[in-house]
Parts: sequence; C-alpha cells; structure tokens
Amino acid sequence: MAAPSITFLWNSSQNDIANGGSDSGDSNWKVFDPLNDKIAFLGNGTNDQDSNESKDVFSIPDSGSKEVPRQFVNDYSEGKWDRIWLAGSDADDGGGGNYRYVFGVYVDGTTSSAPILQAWDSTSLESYDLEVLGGGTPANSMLEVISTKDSAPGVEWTGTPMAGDGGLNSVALGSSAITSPTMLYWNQRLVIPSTANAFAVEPVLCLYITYS
Amino acid sequence: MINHIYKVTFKTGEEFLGGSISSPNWADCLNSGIMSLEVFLPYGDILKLTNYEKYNFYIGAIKPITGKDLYISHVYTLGSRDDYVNSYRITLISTNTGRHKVGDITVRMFPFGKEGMGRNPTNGWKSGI
Repeated sequence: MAAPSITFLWNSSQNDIANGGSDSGDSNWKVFDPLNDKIAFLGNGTNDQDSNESKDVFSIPDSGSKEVPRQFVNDYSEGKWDRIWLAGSDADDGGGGNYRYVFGVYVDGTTSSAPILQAWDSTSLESYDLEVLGGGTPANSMLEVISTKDSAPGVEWTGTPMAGDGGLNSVALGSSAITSPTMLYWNQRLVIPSTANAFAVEPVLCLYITYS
Repeated sequence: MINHIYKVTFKTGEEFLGGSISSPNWADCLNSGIMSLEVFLPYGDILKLTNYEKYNFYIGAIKPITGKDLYISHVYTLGSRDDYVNSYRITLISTNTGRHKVGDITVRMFPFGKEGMGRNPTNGWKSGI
C-alpha cells in the first residue's frame, strides 16, 4: 500500500457544515493551494474579500493574553483575504466559537494509526524555535489546536499548544487508523501574551501519517 | 529496481519480501505463522524481530500544509506478546530538535492498543506462531 493522498481544505462559509465534496471541496469548502495559499491571523480591520495587498495586523495586548480575532486564507488565485469565519474560540476576545467544521484534511487511502497534526518552524521540519511556537518550549506555543472530528469544541474552547512532534504538543485528529477515505476536522486559534515581541513569521502546520 | 525494506519468514520456511519505502505492501503479507520480521536498515544492518505473538510494520511521513512534498520520516517495526508491544522506530529525517537524528533507533514498550502516536491503537497486526 502506498501513502494516502492528502488534501487540506478550509470552510469559506459561515455555515458550520461538513465538507460534502471529498478532495474537491464544495460550495462551502475550498481546497488549499499548497504552493501559494497561506493562513493568516489578522486584526479586526481586515474584512472578507479585501484585497491581499494590505492588511490590518493584530496589536500585542497591554496585559494578559488575547486571541487574534480573525483568521483568513491569503487566497493567491483570487488575490484576496478569504475569511475563515468560524475559526477560533470565543475566549480571550477571539472571533470564533463553538464551531466544528472549520479546517479539514481529506485523507484518501488508509493509515496504520490516527493522523497527527503538528507545527514546525518551516518545511525543513527540524525545529520549533519561533517565539510563536514557544521559542523551544512547546507548552508556551501561542498556536492552539483542537480536534473536532467527533464533536464541536464548546464556545470558549482552549486547545493544545502546538510545537514539534511531542505527544503533549501535537493533536491526534481522531482516535483510530483511517480505514477508508475520510475527512478530518480541527479548529485553531492564536493567543498572544502581553510579553510577546512583534513578529511576522510563517510556521508550518503538518499532518503526520502512517502507512504500510 | 525495488529496494525491499523488510523480509518476513514463516514457520513453513517460506519468505515474503516487502516492497519499497514508498509502497511497503505490508497488507499483502500472509496473516499467520510469522516466525520473524527483518527490517533492512541504512548502512546494511538488519533489525530482526522474532518470537512475538503479533507483528506490525509501517512508515511514518509528514505532509506540510504548504508545499507538495510528503516527507518520509520514520520506519516502524513492532512486535507484541503478553499484551505489550515493543516498538522500534528508525528515524530517517531529523524532525525532533536535539533529540533524534537520522539513523537513530528509538525502542519503546507500550500496552497493546497504545502503541500508535497519540497513544492510540494501530492497524495491520499479523499473527506469529
């Protein structure tokens, strides 16, 4: 058996609904262009379908920690910010909530164990030293993920801090191996502490799979 | 040319040669009477598992959300007896900062059903003798 085919997608709509179109998406779900699209965490001044030639960045809070309120896909083919309306939590002034079908990956094939979502500094997959990923201390990662394969996360959900491949800082998208082509879902948020330094970085989300 | 990455020997004396690292063909291996599972390591050495009730074999790979490539990162070979699993993980790329480098073999024991990443079960077990 060869490695399964993997396609990342996002829900571009305001409907909390599963992808009905497998690896092609549907009227709600769009296929992520792995060569050109990027996910961005931005401030409230950026709106859906704004041109991606400008953006409103999020300001580091004066105290405590705040969730970046809006997430977008920098849709290269459209030249626009495509808002991921349901992304994030309602905690820490976030702009999301109890939403299940937000980010997804279509696994076409079978696996030997449950796929795992990880975060790394870059596609070299060697380090998690960026401050946004905890600066080498995974528990301090600002990027939090929660698996929503089986249920919605709750309104004020908090996720797992993501950095590298350690069991405490990566997220299993389900609890069993994939035995037939399947969509897996997650939600994510970025929580910025007042102690953070200004940054504009591009860490990479990855799916770890096994096959035989 | 296929570089076979493992060999299964059955109690009958018959052998099954696995496929390549990109298509190991573990599903095609007979599910009974396995006497040993040998994995061919880089640099020519062989890791041999024997005297287990069950055997498993799979590849670990990473697909970044950005970029087209699938990075093959680990080879796993596992043996189970008495409801415990011995897991051997061979690292092919240095994904773990400062902890595991290319060629490292990580040996761990798990209760059966907890051997997968995230402490979840794995599929693909085949019977020994």
